Amino acid sequence: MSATNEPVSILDGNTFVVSDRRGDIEATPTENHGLFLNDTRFLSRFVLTIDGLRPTLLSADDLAYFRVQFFLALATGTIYVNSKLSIMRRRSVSDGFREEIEIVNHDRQPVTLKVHLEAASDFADLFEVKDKLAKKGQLYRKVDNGRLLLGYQRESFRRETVISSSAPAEVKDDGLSFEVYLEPQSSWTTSIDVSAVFVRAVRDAKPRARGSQRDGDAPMGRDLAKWVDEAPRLVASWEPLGNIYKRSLIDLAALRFTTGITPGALPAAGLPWFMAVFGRDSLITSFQALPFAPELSATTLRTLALFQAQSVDPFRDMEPGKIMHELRLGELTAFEERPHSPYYGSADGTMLFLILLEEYVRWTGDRALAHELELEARAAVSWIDRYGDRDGDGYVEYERRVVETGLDNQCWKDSWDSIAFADGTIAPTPRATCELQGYVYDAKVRMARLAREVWGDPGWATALERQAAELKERFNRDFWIPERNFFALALDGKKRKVDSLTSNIGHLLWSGIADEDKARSCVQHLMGEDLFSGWGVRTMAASEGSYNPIGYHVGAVWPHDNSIIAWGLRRYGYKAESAMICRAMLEAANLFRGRLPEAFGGYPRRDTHYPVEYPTACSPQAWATGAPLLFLRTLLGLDSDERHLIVDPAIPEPLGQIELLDLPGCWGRMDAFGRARPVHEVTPPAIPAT
Amino acid sequence: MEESEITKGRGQAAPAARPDDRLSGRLGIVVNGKTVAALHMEGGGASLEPAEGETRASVLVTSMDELGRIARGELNLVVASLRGNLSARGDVAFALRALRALEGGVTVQGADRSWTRNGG
Repeated sequence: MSATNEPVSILDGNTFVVSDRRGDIEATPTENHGLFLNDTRFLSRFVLTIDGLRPTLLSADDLAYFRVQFFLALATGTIYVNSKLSIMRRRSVSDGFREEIEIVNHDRQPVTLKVHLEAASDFADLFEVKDKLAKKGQLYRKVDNGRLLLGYQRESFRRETVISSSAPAEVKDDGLSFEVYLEPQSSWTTSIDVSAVFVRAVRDAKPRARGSQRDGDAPMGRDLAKWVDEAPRLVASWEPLGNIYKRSLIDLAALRFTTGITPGALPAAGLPWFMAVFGRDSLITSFQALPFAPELSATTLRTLALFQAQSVDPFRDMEPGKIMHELRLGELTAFEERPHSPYYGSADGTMLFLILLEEYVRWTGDRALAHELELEARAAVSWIDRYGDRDGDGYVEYERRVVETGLDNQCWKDSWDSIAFADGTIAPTPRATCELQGYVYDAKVRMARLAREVWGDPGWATALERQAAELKERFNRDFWIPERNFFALALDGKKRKVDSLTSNIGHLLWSGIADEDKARSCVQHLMGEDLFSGWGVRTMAASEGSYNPIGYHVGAVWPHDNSIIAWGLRRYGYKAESAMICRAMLEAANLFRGRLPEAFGGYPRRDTHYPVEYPTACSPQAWATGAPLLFLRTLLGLDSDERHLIVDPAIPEPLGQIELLDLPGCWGRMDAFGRARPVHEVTPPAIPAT
Repeated sequence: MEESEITKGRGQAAPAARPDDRLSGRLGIVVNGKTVAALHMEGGGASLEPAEGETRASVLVTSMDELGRIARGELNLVVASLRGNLSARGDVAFALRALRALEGGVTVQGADRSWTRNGG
């Protein structure tokens, strides 16, 4: 059962329903209720009344991510008279939703009831919902063959919602009404189907076989059970870990997004506003989940490859070889009032695409995918050098081409104030953030391996290795701030070092670009009080001018950020520090009832017994969902050399013993085991190539 | 928001639009419910052919000019699809790849000059 006043959300892929806890949908400027599909709200009002009264809530049970049931009663107006009517609403989602309404008469007298379902739709684009914009087309509604049809048209863009009932209903253009006669101790049931329809201007040469209407939620239930069954089994002596792991698997299942273009599903970014294909988010989540669900990576890579940019388009921040940032399917995208068809405004997605490709091939041994995507990989590398480095200074930098619609910050910290100097001054663009350079280094090292070992191109491999080595040398010279002993957050448009201490330096460890002596200083900063809150590494150090513990990218703690940092610490041999972050984050996850939010407050742990919730955090959010999976991989030290599973555990004492059984990979299925031992400070070993 | 600002430079062809020699097969072209032609993709090139014969997929459009606009880099595929003016069936990934090659500026043998950027 969920907490009291929160709205109830159920979803399947990019369809989701948000209602109040009675099951009613009442969209208002402050309540973002509705049935949403492909970034459009197909239903904005869906309110049940009985004899003109709204039933009151008894309980709402989230049975599964795609199914919920609401238990209601018709209030009598006094505590001295029991309600004689129970109402159950059972709702499941799939290309719309189906709702079964059951009313039970507990009285010894028969009753006659007027049951009414009021329905309306504003067909708002998600961006209109967020930005409170007005519609430009025409809304219409009509009764069609015993069904209520709600529609919207703007030129050839047409969307409809069709509402029908299994029980006889009086259908008017404001909803469906039922005259219900109930004998004592008897019940009445109807099933309501709400379908979202894309009305197309094009016609087919031959009639298409229409799939049957939804067959209830049994297939989805089976799919979820299969998904959980096929994941590696976790046995953990620290009991909360099992709950956190299961929560991650189920949330990841809920966030799976099917495009209908490539087989399989990829992770969408998060509920409710980000149920869409995102480059960065899908790539990072797939990376985190790789040892547990490698098929997500394959679908993510194939889908993003299909949309790889092939021309220059400033409106979409698009350049040949670039990997998309975000694909949206609503009205504002259709009329190019937003650039998301797709939008390419992220500077890191292209490198992350290459990183995931190599990681996937090394983990699974699926070299066929490397061959399949060789052309895209080469185009992506070309983008880095030709377009990513805009001014030829050897570093990837970004600046939006269209101020009105483009993203100001095109790194993962994409809020407007995230790239600031220590005194709080915002750095002018173009911005070359440090982690982008790390990703370039890592991507080139990884592509060199594929070029040599898979694509049979040793000449290119050598060139890439040389470029990576030169970049590393250059970076360690140009980004290092000797007086503060860490890497600059960025070089700004005037090539000045942006001198804030931020979590970005942890990504440099993940990438392997930092020299070892400089890495040691960075580790001290990452684990120092200014950055490490006790729950995790803050996005910005508490000592900086812009720091705000509830600032999205200037002080809040992001689980995915920490999962990357923890893996980076392992890479440089800092096992104890890595384990400390994993433990703190998993303890936080436990206090969040197993589900890490997108971000939480950066307040010091000594001041808060619980991690402080971030006010508008997205939940579940994909890379927060994936974070516990990468923490598990990090704790067990799991890696692959494309033949064997490598296990090198470093587990802190309170977490005891961790077993992951049936890990899929190029070895088939294998078990990994680790138990806590005192983790001593270690001398960093030689840094492996990848 | 100045429209001219947004559209400035939009749809420029890639200087290095890459041939995709993995793309092989025929894409049926259906206009207003009738299959009128096929786009044959082979060896990094494309040609417009009569409709007869097997296809891997079909693209549904409201007019041939829609495809011409895509080939000229004037119409975004996703935009056309969202407005209901373009759809695909069959091997949708192949259809998308073929249309993206068209969008990317691949030369189509047998197509008239209106399919060529800058009027040929």
